[in-house]
Amino acid sequence: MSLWRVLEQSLRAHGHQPALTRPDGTCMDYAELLERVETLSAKLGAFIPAGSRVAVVDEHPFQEAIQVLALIALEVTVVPLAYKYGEQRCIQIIQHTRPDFLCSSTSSLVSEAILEACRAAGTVPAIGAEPPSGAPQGAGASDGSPAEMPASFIMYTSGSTGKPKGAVLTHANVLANIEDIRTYFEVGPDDHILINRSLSHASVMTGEFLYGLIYGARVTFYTESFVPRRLLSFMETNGVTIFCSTPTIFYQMALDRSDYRAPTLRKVALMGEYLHKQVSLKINERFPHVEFFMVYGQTEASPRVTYLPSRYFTVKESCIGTTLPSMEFRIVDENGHDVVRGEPGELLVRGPNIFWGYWDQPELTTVKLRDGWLHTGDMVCQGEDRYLYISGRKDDMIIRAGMNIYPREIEDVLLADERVREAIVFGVADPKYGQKLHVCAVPYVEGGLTPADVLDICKKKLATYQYPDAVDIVQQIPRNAAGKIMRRQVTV
Amino acid sequence: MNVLEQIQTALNEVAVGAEGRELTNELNLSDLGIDSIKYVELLVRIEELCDITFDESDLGMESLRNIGDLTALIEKTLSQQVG
Repeated sequence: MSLWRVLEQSLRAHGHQPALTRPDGTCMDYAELLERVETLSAKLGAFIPAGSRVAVVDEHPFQEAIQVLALIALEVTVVPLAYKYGEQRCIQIIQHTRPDFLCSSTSSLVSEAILEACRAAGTVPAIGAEPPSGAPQGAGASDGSPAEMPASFIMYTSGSTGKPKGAVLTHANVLANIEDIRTYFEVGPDDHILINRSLSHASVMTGEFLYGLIYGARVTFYTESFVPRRLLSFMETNGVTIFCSTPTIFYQMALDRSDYRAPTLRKVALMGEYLHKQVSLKINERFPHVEFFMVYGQTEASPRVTYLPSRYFTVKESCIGTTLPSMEFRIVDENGHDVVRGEPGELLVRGPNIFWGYWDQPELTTVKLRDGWLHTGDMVCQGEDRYLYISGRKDDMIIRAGMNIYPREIEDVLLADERVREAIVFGVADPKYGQKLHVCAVPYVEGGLTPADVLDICKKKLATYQYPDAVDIVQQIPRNAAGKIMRRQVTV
Repeated sequence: MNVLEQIQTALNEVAVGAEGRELTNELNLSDLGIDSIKYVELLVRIEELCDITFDESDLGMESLRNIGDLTALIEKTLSQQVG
């Protein structure tokens, strides 16, 4: 059954149950949501042909969510643009994906720079579901889209080469992952899920938004900036029962000086970064009534791969648990041979949730996806208890507050500045951030560069989550005998 | 230590390049590279340094944009807690 059929069945079956909270705080029920989605998909379907790629951007995730559902109903490929990460990021995604249409319920976010990117990419803006006027010739009939590519999501994630990459997740991938999540993280019509991250993350799209709607829960988007006390207060006032987050966010909530305990909260999934022991203990101490799960995944797996049952949450440090029921795994050495149990190696996973490939980057797809096996780049070992334990990354990727950051993205920006002779970026373990982002920079001229200058360079070109947490101006960066920068040896 | 000195101490720990930077009322927290996570860390540190607890209705990056906003909030919270 298609993703839309499964969603439609749920939207019909849950009729007058609360479904989606409007921006004014009132709640739309499932019957009304279905009506809104069907009306919008009929309007959009009048000019968006099957097989199109459609980018979505909206001011409020409520509107974005309805657009996404309408596009799923049309069985087209959806490209969520994360406006939160800046206009530059949206433009980069438009340039790379060359969507046929850009949908937004309002013109407020569609700036002149975004319109210019649309013109260059042959993308037709469709604002307020109105049929576009004066569409350029050829627009709307997806160019360059591989004929065999099914209806999908293209989810952008950080790239090791400094440019974001678009993982194509088919509707079938997402549905398979939802069925797997159901085996350990049950939700139902009595639940109220609070989402405080963007729908452009696969874990939010699959594991929170679509998952919640398919099983009849109420879904609310939290749009305020994160302040633990206010978020806890919101949870108490609104009876939130389910929350998915990074350890960074939840640790800050556990440390808050207020008396809030979120008594209705019953399940929390933590993901996206290493869970330090002191963090799990503190969280459990503050919220003893909550069932916690540590989950591990990657965008390319739609995204969930493993989960650690709640009973082991504070017991097994660095453990990511076991793979989901429909998945297989291998742990291999650098020659691709399976390691002996207990030895570390790269985690490879296979299953119906593994992505279709990267959009328009076949070489990269070949590296990441071989014979159906996703090469995660994560180093793990299998313990005697058969659970998987994570030991690090095969590459230099840093995970700061749940966001993946490749050092090269930042180093390239710094090195493009005439004051910077050399720069190196690396992560340092930190319980509050998972890893903190450190920069060591060598100036061309002694005294010609300050930490504040480095921050200013980053602010001009990078997203806020890529700003450094610490900057050292040094005279020399350590290298090995071959002259290669030793990223892991850099200490502060 | 006065309020501005407390803010400076907290900023030195949280923000890159804050040390030695003159704190004017108009200086935006975003100019100091304060993102949402650092913003929370900054508020937590100020609560510890000043031994105060901010009222949740006063918090939020939208209403606390610059050093002037932060100073005013600390002074208001201090006066309420003394009173």
